[in-house]
Order: sequence, then structure tokens, then C-alpha cells
Amino acid sequence: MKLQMKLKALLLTPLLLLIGLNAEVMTGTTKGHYSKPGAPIDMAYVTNSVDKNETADINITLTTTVRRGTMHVLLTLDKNLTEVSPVEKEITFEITPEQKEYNLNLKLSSLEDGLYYVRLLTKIDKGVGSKLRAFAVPVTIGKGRVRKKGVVMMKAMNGENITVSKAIETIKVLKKEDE
Amino acid sequence: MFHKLSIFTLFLISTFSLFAVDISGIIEYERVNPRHSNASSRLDFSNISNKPAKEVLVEAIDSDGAVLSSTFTNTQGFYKFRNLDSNIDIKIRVSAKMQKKDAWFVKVTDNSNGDSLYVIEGRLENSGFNNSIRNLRASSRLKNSPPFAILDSIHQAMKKVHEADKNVEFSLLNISWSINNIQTGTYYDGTENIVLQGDQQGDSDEYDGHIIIHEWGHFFETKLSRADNIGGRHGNNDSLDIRVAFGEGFGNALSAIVTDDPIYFDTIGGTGWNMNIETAHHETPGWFSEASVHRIFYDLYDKDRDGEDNLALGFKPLYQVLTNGQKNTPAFTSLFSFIHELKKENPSVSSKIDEIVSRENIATIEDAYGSNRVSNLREDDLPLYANLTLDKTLTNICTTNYYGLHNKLSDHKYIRFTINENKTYPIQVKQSNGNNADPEFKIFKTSPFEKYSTQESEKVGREEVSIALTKGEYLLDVYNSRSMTKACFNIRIGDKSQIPILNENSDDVENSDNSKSTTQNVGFALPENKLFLTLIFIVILLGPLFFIRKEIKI
Repeated sequence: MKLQMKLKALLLTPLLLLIGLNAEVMTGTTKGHYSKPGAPIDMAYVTNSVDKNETADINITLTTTVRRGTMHVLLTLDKNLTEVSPVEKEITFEITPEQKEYNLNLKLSSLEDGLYYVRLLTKIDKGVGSKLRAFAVPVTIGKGRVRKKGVVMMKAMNGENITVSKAIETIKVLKKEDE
Repeated sequence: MFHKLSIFTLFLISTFSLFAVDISGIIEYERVNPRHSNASSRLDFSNISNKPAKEVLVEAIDSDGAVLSSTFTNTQGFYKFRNLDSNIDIKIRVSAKMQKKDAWFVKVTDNSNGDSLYVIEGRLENSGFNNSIRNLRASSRLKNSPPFAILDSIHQAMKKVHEADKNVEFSLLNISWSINNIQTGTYYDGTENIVLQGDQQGDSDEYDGHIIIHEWGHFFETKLSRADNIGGRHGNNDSLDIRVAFGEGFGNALSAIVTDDPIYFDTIGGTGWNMNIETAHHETPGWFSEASVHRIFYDLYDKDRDGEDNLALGFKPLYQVLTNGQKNTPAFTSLFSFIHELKKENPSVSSKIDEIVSRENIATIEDAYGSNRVSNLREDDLPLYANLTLDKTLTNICTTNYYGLHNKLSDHKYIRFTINENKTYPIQVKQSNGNNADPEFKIFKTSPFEKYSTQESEKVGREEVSIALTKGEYLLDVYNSRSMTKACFNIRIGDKSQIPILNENSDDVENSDNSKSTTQNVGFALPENKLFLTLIFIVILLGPLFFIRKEIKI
């Protein structure tokens, strides 16, 4: 028994070490997506998932092909996210040909497990008809459960997965004279 | 005897009829309408319309979940079940699915919940002994109307195409939408799927009909026409690769054509934006502009006579070019190939087509390759297509990132060549202005048009392959995987005479934009040598066995 425990511990340890080499870091980018029209801005991010009351360090990079203009960014945080350091909600960057990346850093935490989001609404002001582009950066606290609201999944008789919700319904029984 | 049998049969039938009922009704969904104010748009939740759910699947379900009968609504949302059993519990289920034999199969599923099909259900109620009417409505407040709103936009697009071609058949299409689609983006994936944003606190597209039809336009191009569009981020002011400009401009124009509404809009939370497909300010017009493409396309279609637009072709002639000439063009699909084919098919209005095109600062289009462009661009931007002769080196073909990366003008260069003999040919692309680019290329055979080969190794300064080619016309798409202000290449197909290779072992990487890495290094930086890496993993995995070798008697 003791040997089995020792064997398991010693075999699991290096596997955990290998997993740990990649730490709990989430990255993402919108580059390369076949996306809808909007402001010519791409976004990449690096965040780390943390436990309750720990600080999540979120680094966001915005890039654009535009050479001149003003980039406006409006930030909103999910309501359970707390700012560890103050977060400016309205940010402006002056775009120049030399600078292609515009960085934001946020430090956030939460008292509750969950998957939360930092939302960005961006536009580039060139004086004529500015389009918008929205992004969302995930922030995982603890187990980061995704809460599905009012959704029931079932299997139909033919085996197909269905998501069922209630319709607004009116029923009228027809008397013979109505038909 | 026969008389008695007839009476008995009639009695039996009437008895069954006595115990059968009809259930019918109207299926609707609530559509939240947009409110436009100058260049802004938003969803107006005080302006909600009840719309029919057209040609969707409706089922009568018993208390065990078995399907008693199924049908589809008509275009007014009406359905009817005849001769259902009386005095049993039945509920009506409506699925976000449109299915018509030899026509279409479209469904909306929740990609965050097992790709499950969205359905709404009424109450389980006794069918009684009388016919009844059960009307069902999907609600915007309950968040179950979006799948039907999405289907309605798709239905509108398919109907428009069907008006131009009664025999058209659409292949399977799945639309993935969920309120949990918060960072998915909205896009067509190139096969059978469209993904739509559903973030209810941010960007959601379920009621943005123009966006849905724009994405459906990519599906249409892929399945019924031809799309050489390489995708990526794009905007009205971008100078785009000509394939991207056409594909995206077409999608924008199609949304206005299908809805007969030139106001393209995107609502985002409590805000949003819009653009007028027809009249928006002409920023950077040209054959590389998706905005120019959508204005031209819409002007070719619409009835409004404005300025140089003296044409109202309607959709059918445009559809016929998309599904024939454009589909089979030997050039990459672009505004050039489309207009060239349109003029061939409609010679009597060729000059009027030229007038519409000229309004976008585009000289008369004479062929599918955009030849004879009057250049107001940078010197490296033209010509779009270079001609290569076998066994001769084509020099100084340059890509630049001046307009941006990946899918912008001059990120790719196109080369035409002809093969007259079936055999194996060496193809070499070598950098001529240094040794720090990472050239790649794709080979396309043009008749029938197909991608023949992709060469994307990590070799610095050159890319080459020996490949069997059959007789015919080909296109080579050359590009640089590294971000560089300018990378120039010499290209040779055939006799493998040496193209000079400069400083082959250099690791010098020019990053003239001084751009920083977009991600931080976290944790260990592992060595790149694969043998060394393998040895490390073996030590980590087997090392612990060393410590317990006595117990396990190694």
C-alpha cells in the first residue's frame, strides 16, 4: 500500500510539473478571424486565472492598421469584479505611424468564483463616420463556472439535443359554431 | 352484404372522426427593432414587432415526448395538425429549424450547450373533443426569440436568391448563437457554420439582420459562387487585398439588397453604428476598398438613379454572374473579375456599368486581372499580376506591410504562368533584398479553379518545392509570413539555375515597426532544440523511478 502511494506520488509529480510549466495563463486574440465590419482594431490579451480575493493581472494590447487618428476605448467591468488598482474607464490614444500597439493593464479581483468579463468598446475617430468594435476579455476566478440562465437541455425522442424554453401561448377551444 | 359493410365502414370512420381533433395556430417571434440616429444605432426595446416564424418545424408532442405529428409553418407563420387523438395531453413544440427537400436545411443551435437545437414549447394541455387554436410566440424578454429572428433573416436572404433562381438548392447551414457567445466574434467559418455574438451586456447580433445576411453572403459565395477571400480583419477605410475587398463588399451590399434597406447597422449594447451602403462618404475609394465594392454592387442593383448610376439591373443578372462567370474566372475573385464577366453578359449596358465603376476612382475595367490600372498608389502596389515565363527568373516582386498585415493590399503578390508539358517542376521563391523574410506561396490551377499546393516552411529567405504540374494556366500567390516594411523576391519555375541566396545563415530579423510582443513570457522558456527537449521530458518522466527502484526491484 505504502509502495503504491509512493509510486503514484512520484509518477504524478512530474506530470503535474509538466502541466505547471504552462501555468494557468489565458491568452487570446482576435487577429485572423473572418470578422464583421467595424473599427479597424484588433485585440490580444493575457490574463491569469486566480482564486477568490487574489489579484488577476490582465494585459490587453490593441493594434490598428490606421496611421493617424484618435482611438477611444470605453471599459466596463462585470459587476462582481473589483478594481485592485483604479481602472480608467474612458481611455484615449493618439495614433501615430510609429506606434502600432496600445497597451492596457488592469488588476482585478473578486469575492466569488466565476467567469467574468472586461468589455471594451473601441472606435477610431477620423472625423468621418466612426465605426465601433467591441471586445470581451475573460477573467476566471476560482472554478470560473459559466452560469447558464433558465436553460434546460434535453434529448428529443429522436436523440437530438434540444434546448427547451417556454413560449407565450394562447389556447382557444373552438365550439362547433366557430368552425 | 355490401350495403351493410359500407354502412359499418362509414360508422367506423365517423367514430374515429368523432375522436379526432384539429389543432392549428400562428407561430410568431418578437423582433426588437433598431433606432437610428445619424451614424449611431441601437436596439429599441420599446419598439418590438411580432413577426411570423416562417417555414419552421412545428410538432405535436404527447406526454411521453413522442412526436404525434409534424409540419412546417407557412410564410404567415400558420400551421395545422389534422386528426390528432382527442382527449389526450398534447403540447406544441416549435424548433428553430427550416427544412425543405431539395431547397434548404437551416438550424440555430446553442454552441455553449452541446450544440442543442433551440425549441420553444407550449403547455401540455388536453386536446379535448373540439378543434382548437394554439398560438405560440417566442419572447424577447425570455430571450427565446433570437433563434427565430436569426432564421427570419436567413429566410429573407434565401427567398431573394430563390426569386432569381427557382431551382436553387442551399446546402446545410448551422448557425451557432448563445447568450454565452461573449468573445466568440461573429463570423462564417468557411464550411457550414455561422457563429453569432450573443453577449446581452455587450455586442449581440441576433437582431442585426444586415450582419447576419453579410455572413450568409460568405456562405452563399462559398457554396454557390466562388470566394477566394482570405478573410481577416477589415474595414471601410482599409486598402485591402482585392479578394477580401470583393468578398466583404459583396456581403455588405447583399445585406442591403436582400432587405431593400441600405442602412447597414451593428448594435452593441445600448449603442452601435451604421453606414449607408449607397450614400456614405467616399473615403479612399478604389478597387481595393470594400466600401467601393458595396456601393458599386448596390448601384448596379437598385432602382435609384443618382449621379452616374443610371442602371437598375435587379438581382438576377448579378446572381447569374456570381454563379457562372465569377465562379469560373481564371483570375482571383475580385471586383475586376466580377465586372469583366458582368459586362460580357450584359454588353448593351457595358458603358453604364463603366460609369458606376468610375465614380469610385476606378479606370475602365477591361479584363479579370485589373490590367492597365492608372496608378495613384505606391510603386510596389502595381501591377497586381506579374507574368512569369518558365526557365526565366522573374525579379523584384515585392510585398509590403504599408497598408497593414495579412490581408491588406500588397501583402500578397500574384504571378501568372503557363505549363505546356506534364512533368515535375522546381519552383523557387528567393528573397532579393536581404535574408530575413519568410516567403511562402500557394499554387492555384485555374481551370477548373482549385488550390493545388501550399508551401509554408519556416526557411528564412527562400521557399521552394519540386512539384508535378499538368498542362494549363496557374496562379502563384506569394506572401511573407514576417512583418516587414518591404520584402522583394526573385521567382523561378523550371530550370533550377541558381538564384543568388544572400547571407543564408543570418538570424537578423527586421522589425521595422518596432512593435513589441503581444504576449508576455510566463513560466519556463523551453529550449527549441527538439532532441534536447525530448531528453528533458524523458528525465522528468522516468527520473522518479530511480528513487523507488529498490521497492519495485529494478
